[in-house]
Amino acid sequence: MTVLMEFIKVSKKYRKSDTLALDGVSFELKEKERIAYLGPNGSGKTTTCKIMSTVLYPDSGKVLFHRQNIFKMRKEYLKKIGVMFGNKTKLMENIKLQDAFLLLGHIYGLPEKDIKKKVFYYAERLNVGHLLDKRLREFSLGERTKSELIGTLLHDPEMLILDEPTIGVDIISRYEMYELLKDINKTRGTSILITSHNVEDIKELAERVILINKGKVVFDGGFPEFKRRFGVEEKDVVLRFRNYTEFEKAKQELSGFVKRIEGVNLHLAIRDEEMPRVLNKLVSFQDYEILIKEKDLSEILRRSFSA
Amino acid sequence: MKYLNIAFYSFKDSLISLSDFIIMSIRPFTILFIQFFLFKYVFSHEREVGGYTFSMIVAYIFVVGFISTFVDAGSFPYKMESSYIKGTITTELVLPVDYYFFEYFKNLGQRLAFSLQFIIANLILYILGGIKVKLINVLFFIPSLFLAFTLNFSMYFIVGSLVFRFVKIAGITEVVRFLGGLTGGRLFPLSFLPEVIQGFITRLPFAYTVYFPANILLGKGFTKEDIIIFLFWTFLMTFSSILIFERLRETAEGYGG
Repeated sequence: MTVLMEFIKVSKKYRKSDTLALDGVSFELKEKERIAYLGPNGSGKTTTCKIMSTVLYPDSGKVLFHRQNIFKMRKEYLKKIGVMFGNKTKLMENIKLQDAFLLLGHIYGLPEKDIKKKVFYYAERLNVGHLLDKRLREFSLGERTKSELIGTLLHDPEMLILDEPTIGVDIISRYEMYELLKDINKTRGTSILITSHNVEDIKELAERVILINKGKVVFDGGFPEFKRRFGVEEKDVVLRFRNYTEFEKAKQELSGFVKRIEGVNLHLAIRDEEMPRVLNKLVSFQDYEILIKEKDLSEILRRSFSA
Repeated sequence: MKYLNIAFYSFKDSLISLSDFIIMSIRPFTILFIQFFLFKYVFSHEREVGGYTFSMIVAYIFVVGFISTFVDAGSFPYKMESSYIKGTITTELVLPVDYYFFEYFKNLGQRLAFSLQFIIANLILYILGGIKVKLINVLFFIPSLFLAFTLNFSMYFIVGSLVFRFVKIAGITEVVRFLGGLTGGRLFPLSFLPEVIQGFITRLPFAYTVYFPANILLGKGFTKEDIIIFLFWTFLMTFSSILIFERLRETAEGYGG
């Protein structure tokens, strides 16, 4: 695969707060690649996205797109990428959504016919077709986010930079977004770089993970290796028993998975591949409630980095 | 073409935001109301002041009401400050446009929307009030109005760009607004002032944002020197604003979150 973007020894210091946000960060993004760019809060993720989208300028280092400096071809470069910042919109809020898309399409120099065709297609895919005659200010957060994604895709970007795109979005909307993004990646070869605190985003979209902490890259590898090293494939399961005998029985039989006990509640940590075996055992117990939680990525990263 | 689209949709956006539209429409008329009665009192004692009769001053305050509403960009630095602190400015900076022209045309659309009622008020005054405006004056007035808009917008764009350095720019914005109000001829014709002060103020850029275009429309005449100063300030401010914005943008650190 051809290299699309090169981030070469990029540093950025915030002088007012005396923070070194990026300290010689280097990585490459290839065509068709899907990268999750992760790190704890304040690690430099958003700074990277802002530099990649020419919003911020680095103090040193180079950022190349097709081997050309992005800051020397800013407007041309911005036509080739799509940028989405979670909870922020580039669409006008008081006019009808379809007009807001028309304006955005005109800014990218697209013919009106093409804009309408694409808007209709994406709106159907993301289930917001019924909103085209309404105004963005009347939308729910999920509807706004899906509209913003359509706006980001209108000009068929070669690369997408998605900074926490699903923040505050419900699970159904998130899966609609994942499906569309995977489809675009597959059919058009659009590269994706995503930052998120949501495990589901990473599981669904990332093939490769770059982990950043205190402005330095601390991990760069495939998603399976990342899962193994950072325990992402584990789920937190809580069993709430109403019967003490059943609680004791479960405690013994699931002893290998017990992480914590609170009264008659068992807190278990179960890896994805062990889940079927545990579920088989659970069938034999009675009088309990089960709660399965995805691991919180921020928590995993916080623990990993503080260890 | 894309910039004209920005102006068009911004015009639409401003009309649809009804509460803003009503407030922004009423505000200039309240000043006009006060000015009218103030000048009525002044002209009850004098037939002519600074080369203006009462009917001419009424025409002046209506025309100035329109021009100052049309060229107004005083809220732009506040918008920049708020979007910089909240980080929403990033969504505009990632668009493949020149930011100056993007905001220029957005503001143009918005100001057109907010000036509509003044155009109507001026037409009523023209038809019912017996005010005579020559066609040649209108032909000179239109380009001068757009130049005035450009000049005023560029000055506030420079102030707005300071957000990249200072983050909080309300103080400096208010100073510029105050100077603009005082020396732009918004409250009274600058010819009311003593000649020495007048000579100084009419060389400052603010005089060309309101007073000068109003004089053109009302047939007060202008010299070659006036045109040169007007063009000088407009080009200087436009180029400076683009350069200052780009320069300061490179040093920006924040954009909230």
